[in-house]
Amino acid sequence: MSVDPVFIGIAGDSGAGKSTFVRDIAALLGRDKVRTVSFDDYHSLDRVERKAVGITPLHPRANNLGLAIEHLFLLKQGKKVLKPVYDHSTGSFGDPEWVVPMPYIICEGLHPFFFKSLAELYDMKVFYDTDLELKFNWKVKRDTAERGYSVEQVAKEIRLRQRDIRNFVEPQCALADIIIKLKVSKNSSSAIGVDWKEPVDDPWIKRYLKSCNFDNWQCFTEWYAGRKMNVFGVYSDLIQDQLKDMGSIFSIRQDVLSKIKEKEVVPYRTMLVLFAARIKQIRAFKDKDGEVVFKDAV
Amino acid sequence: MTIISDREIATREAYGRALVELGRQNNNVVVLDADLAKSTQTIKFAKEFPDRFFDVGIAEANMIGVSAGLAACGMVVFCSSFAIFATQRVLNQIFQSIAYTNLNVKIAASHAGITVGEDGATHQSIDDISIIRSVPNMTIIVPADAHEAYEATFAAANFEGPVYLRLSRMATPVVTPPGKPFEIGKAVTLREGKDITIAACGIMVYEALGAAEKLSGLGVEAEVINFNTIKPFDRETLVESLIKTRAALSVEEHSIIGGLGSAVAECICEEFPVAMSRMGIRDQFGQSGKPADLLKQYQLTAEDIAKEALRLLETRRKANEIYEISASTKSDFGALESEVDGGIPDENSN
Amino acid sequence: MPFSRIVYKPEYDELEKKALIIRKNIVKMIAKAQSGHPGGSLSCVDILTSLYFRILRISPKHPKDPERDRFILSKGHAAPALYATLAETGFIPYEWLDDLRKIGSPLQGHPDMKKVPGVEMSTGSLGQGLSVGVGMALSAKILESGYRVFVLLGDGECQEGQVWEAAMSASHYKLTNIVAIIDRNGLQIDGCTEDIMGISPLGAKWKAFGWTVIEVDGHDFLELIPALEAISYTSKPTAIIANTVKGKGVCFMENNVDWHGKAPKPDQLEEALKGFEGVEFMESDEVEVDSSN
Repeated sequence: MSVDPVFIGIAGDSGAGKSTFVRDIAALLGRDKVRTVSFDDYHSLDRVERKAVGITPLHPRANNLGLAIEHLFLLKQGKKVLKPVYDHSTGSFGDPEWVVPMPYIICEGLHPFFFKSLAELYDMKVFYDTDLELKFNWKVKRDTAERGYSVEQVAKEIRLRQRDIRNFVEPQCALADIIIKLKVSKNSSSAIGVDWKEPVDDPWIKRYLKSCNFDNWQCFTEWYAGRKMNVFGVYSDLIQDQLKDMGSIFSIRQDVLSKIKEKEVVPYRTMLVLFAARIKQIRAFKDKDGEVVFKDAV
Repeated sequence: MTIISDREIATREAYGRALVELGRQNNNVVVLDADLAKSTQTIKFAKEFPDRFFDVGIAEANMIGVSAGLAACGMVVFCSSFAIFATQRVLNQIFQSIAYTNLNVKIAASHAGITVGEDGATHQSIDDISIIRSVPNMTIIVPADAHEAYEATFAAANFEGPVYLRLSRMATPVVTPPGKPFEIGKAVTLREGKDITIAACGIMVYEALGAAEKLSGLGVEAEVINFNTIKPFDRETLVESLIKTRAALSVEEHSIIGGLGSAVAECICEEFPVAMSRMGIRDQFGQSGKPADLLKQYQLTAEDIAKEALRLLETRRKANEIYEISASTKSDFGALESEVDGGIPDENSN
Repeated sequence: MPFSRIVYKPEYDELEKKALIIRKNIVKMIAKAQSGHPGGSLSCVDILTSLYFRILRISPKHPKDPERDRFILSKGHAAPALYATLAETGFIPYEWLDDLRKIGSPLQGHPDMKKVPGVEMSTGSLGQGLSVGVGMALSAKILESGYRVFVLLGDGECQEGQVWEAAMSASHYKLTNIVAIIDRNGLQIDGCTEDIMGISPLGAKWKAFGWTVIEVDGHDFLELIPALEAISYTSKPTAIIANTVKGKGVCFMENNVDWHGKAPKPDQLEEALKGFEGVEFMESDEVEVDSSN
């Protein structure tokens, strides 16, 4: 049986919270249906070599994007690929592993849609943007604990990276279908607030919320990366029932949802549900080979 | 010609120095060792050119294979170990990966012969020349002293094809002048004489020269030839000398089977039959002991050589007597026969 | 990678066809010589096809190009497979195949690098190829050259101690430009490898020696080629364990240890060739043979 996978690309700086987000999404969609491909595995240079050449992993030259294109293309054809594996703890490559096509393939990394040829492969592209303040705290926490760096090293690296982030990572937001911005919440009830931005001319969330009778959710528009965007701010708590209601449309599993680590962070959870709903819709579209289905249209 | 200097230097040390100089001159020179870099003196090269030195650990077979691979990609490879491990242990690897392919690998084996000394029979290589000599495409060089070893290292590097370079552990006196270019395949006559030819190689050249001095005192003039290349064997020089002396004595720190002695014997039998005797390890194992004591034990000192030379000459004299007797008896029979047959004149009788 | 693929590379179905032609030629040449090793030759055909038509950066016009990739057939008794592949690639003329193992022929019973263009190392006595490969890979490092080294070993060959000496040294020198492919057909002259001298778990052994291990179906190009391409993204030497069938492609030889080193009789050849019906020699361009060495 050949699978036509739903390709989701999630771009964002290292430490933006992509991995956590992908893990939670995978849990929501069902782990047996999801294959995550980390673009970190497509580093073409290991840590020692990067140091010798003097470039950060943010530079596309330090990444084997050609191979990534080839692999994604093969996966899209339903073929398995032998993917490199980059080991963050040693900064070198481990044994490559086979990736077989799954209903959902989530590619996350620094450059998942850096090239147009890459961007065209995805069914949905997300730019995962995180406030610098949040990012700093998370990255220090992770890199010191898991990847063996010291706090000073991390701080220095973040400073050095800023230019490359602006040059090579951020431009991708112009190609994104959705921009998710995590930031420190103005509302005191939770630490994290989420801005969900989508182009005005492709207003999925607007239609979706309407179908869920949430059309009282206010949004404002802003110009971002050359496009006019609707921005939905998720700061206040949505009550549990509403959340359930939203999820039920695309049978988002409540038991899984409640186990998610950041469950106390309601804005984050709301965003997850919305996201999962959107992906499931694309899956349904592919399976039925038909129109995008909305509740109001059923 | 006698000893040039009283200084004693081991051939392996000269090899180590030559390697460093070679490394400076040629970027393609690569050196391998099997955990004996300090003993084989490749450590000098290792210190100066760590990128071109590979210590493959205690894995001689792999060392030969890796050498072949490096040489196949255009490198000039020197690989070193003790003679016993660099030959016996890896004969098949040398045969297939180096000799059959005629690759540019130089096997520089130190600690050859019994003068390894205290380590005993397991470390004393007494058949390496014999083993390598039977492998096609191989060239065998046995420098007589440090000067020659230094030059031989360069000669081997400049030579296209596999070379076996036999080096010694023990510091030995220098018998050749420094800076004399080494010519592969050309034996060197170190002392002229008319009574007996002493063909020697390696550290035995010094002993042979000593023996020649002793013999000279007894009125016997020995010609001493340094066979620094065992293969290809310089038959011309040997035969030229034998035309004068008509007696040959081979001396080597190696089994008398298959080594220099055999090479000399083969040449004599096939080209110019004369009286001959071989000196070396007489088909037995070595043992622990001080090198000098071992040389005495295995009868490889100047005295032993002189004694053997005299014995050989005496044997030849006796043999000649017997030959003459038998020859005269034979001619009597001939005369008798002709009489019996009825006086047919024998053409050869006058 | 799409960007670097300027050179034409045949697609998978074309490779299947090449492999069939090579198999047919192997059987024919061994039958003609009336001696040789069909079993181990047939088992590694798909590996050789992947290498010569998709992976190796080599050109029959420049067999001595210093930047070429190196391939060493460490299991030298599979020489017929190598010869048939070299003929198909254009390194040697097809006519040479008729003289396999004959006196004066360049095609010796085991490969001779001095006689056949495209043969990188003379092999035959087992266990030595990987050491040589390590040497070549080291030399690429010294010369700062980009070529890669591929060594094909038999599984029985892994019983040789020297293989493991070489394996140890490759990971010690951190050689990322060497691939050892193990033709795991499970049989050796005297029987099953596991009965004679067990080498399982083979993958774990290579892993323990510090190699990246990829296990594939040795007759499936979809697995073989990605595995061989994986050399570009490992930080360690790569060992590919290719599970194969000895005598693959000839029904009565498959998995039959008797066909390790026996030539088919004329009637057997006929039966074997039935399996290759419709497979024809492909006419390649005129081959110029560089016999200068």
